[in-house]
Amino acid sequence: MTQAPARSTVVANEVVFDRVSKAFDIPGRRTVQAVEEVTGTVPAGEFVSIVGPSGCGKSTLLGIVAGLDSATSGRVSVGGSPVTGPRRDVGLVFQEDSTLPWRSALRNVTFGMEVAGVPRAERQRRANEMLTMVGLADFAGERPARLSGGMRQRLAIARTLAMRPSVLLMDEPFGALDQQTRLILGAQLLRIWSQLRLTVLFVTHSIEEAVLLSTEVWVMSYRPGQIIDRVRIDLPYPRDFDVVGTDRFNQYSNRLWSTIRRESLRGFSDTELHPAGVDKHPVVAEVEL
Amino acid sequence: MTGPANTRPFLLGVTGTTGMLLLILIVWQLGSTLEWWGPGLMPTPGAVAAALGDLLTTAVFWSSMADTLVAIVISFAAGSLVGVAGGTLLWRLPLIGRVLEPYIVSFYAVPLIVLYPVMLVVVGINVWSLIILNTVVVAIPVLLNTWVGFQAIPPVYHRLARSLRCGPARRFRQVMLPAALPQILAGLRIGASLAVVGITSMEFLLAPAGLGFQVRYLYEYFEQAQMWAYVVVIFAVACVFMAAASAMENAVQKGRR
Ligand SMILES: Nc1ncnc2c1ncn2[C@@H]1O[C@H](COP(=O)(O)OP(=O)(O)OP(=O)(O)O)[C@@H](O)[C@H]1O
Ligand SMILES: [Mg+2]
Repeated sequence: MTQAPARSTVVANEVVFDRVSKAFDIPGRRTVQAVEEVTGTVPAGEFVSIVGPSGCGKSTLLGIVAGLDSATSGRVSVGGSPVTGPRRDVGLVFQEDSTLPWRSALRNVTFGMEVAGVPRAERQRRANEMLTMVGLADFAGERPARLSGGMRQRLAIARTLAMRPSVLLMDEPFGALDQQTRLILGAQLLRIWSQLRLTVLFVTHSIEEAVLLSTEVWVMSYRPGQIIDRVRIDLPYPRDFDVVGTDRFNQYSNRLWSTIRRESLRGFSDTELHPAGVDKHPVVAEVEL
Repeated sequence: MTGPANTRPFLLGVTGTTGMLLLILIVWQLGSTLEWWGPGLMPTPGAVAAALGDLLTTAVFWSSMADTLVAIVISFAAGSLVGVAGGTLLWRLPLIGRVLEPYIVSFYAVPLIVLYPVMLVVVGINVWSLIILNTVVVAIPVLLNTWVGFQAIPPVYHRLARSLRCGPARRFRQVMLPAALPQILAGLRIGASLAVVGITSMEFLLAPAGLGFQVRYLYEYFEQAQMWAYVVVIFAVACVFMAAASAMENAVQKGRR
């Protein structure tokens, strides 16, 4: 591993999926095929979102790119080299709160850099820069317990960005937030993305968010998770949330929505969730019209 | 930080606790003068205070105090060390942990005093048999809490440490240990109370020295006022010890708020 590259030399890397599959073997129960034969490319510097029903394997897929989980078959490469384990130029923002409650906001951001051996002065400088970037400059000395859920999530984003990754993986980073806040934070993320020129792979279950942010949206099917649709979003950048609700925006949303609705319904009638013959009582039939 | 908003509940707590103490003294005095109970059972607060005043000038009192404090502190320190180390080890070696768990848990329910005869054979009749037994008494809750504390660390911290490529030492010191610390401290607080209870009650039952022994000795010689003076002292020792343990726990919690 080379030293942390200087700011101007961060080059976005492409992420290539080559027939990636992942099965979980739970002893005594049937094997769960979480991800199946995912193939595709996130070109360098692009912003690709993955949407799909809960439990379809989105987190699993990101975990494989991050080198935390290994694929059962197939492989992922980042910048041309296959992923064999965690690497510092691939940053992951977790779905769960991953801030460290015993450290101040500032020292949460410096943590990753401490591990990576970035010199102290440089750590402070970058941490302050990142806190400003995510709008937390006034909270540098606060403990995470004093921050809201959304602020903690931005803190985790700042910690990841401070590592200067060339690929940023984000697992529903705004998942716990209300619609307005997530759109505002999304616009903020777009500014950061255009400043730092990263490759972003972004998981969300909000179609609006995906269309607002992405250059391309991938739709994942219910288990086994496959990519069943890819939609190129040809809306000009810089985008702001004014774009939400325009005709083009709605066309993209509708197309994505119709694919996802089909998948989500399939997910809910899965016999594993409703073991006793739920197929005879489809969800729709229970609704009084 | 202690702004006015933080000192108010604190002052309220102190006033409340002091008020409670006064109330107990009033009821105690009232009960004695109105003869709700005879003087043979419990003399007036005044008589006990006088006895306590006299005691404070005797060498017997101070050497008993020293014996007890030394035994409490040593067994608490040793038990904490064994407990934290053992809990950590069982977490790192889950297979051994699973085998030993039922034994450790049942140790919790056994009054370890039944092992006293064994201790007598091993170390003889001296203060060390108490200290060693009490070390085990303290170690068990500390060990169980430490173990649970490490096991309950959210998986996301493990994944974070791995994704940042933390080395094992840093992972333990800067992620796992602080994550488990609140639970470990809860164990230490239980250990602190058991350390006081264990030493004083074993002194009462078995030992030829210490505050607990004095209570039984004076009880057998019907020296009620002096006996109650020792009981008051044991309460005071327990209060100080628990206050120290709570203060330590609060300091850590405060660092996270
Ligand atoms: N460690 C594991 N062991 C066994 N099964 C697992 C494990 N992790 C995930 N799974 C299974 O794999 C499937 C995909 O899980 P994953 O967390 O990737 O879903 P997701 O798309 O991120 O869902 P959500 O949107 O709810 O976060 C699920 O059915 C889950 O039960
Ligand atoms: Mg997920």
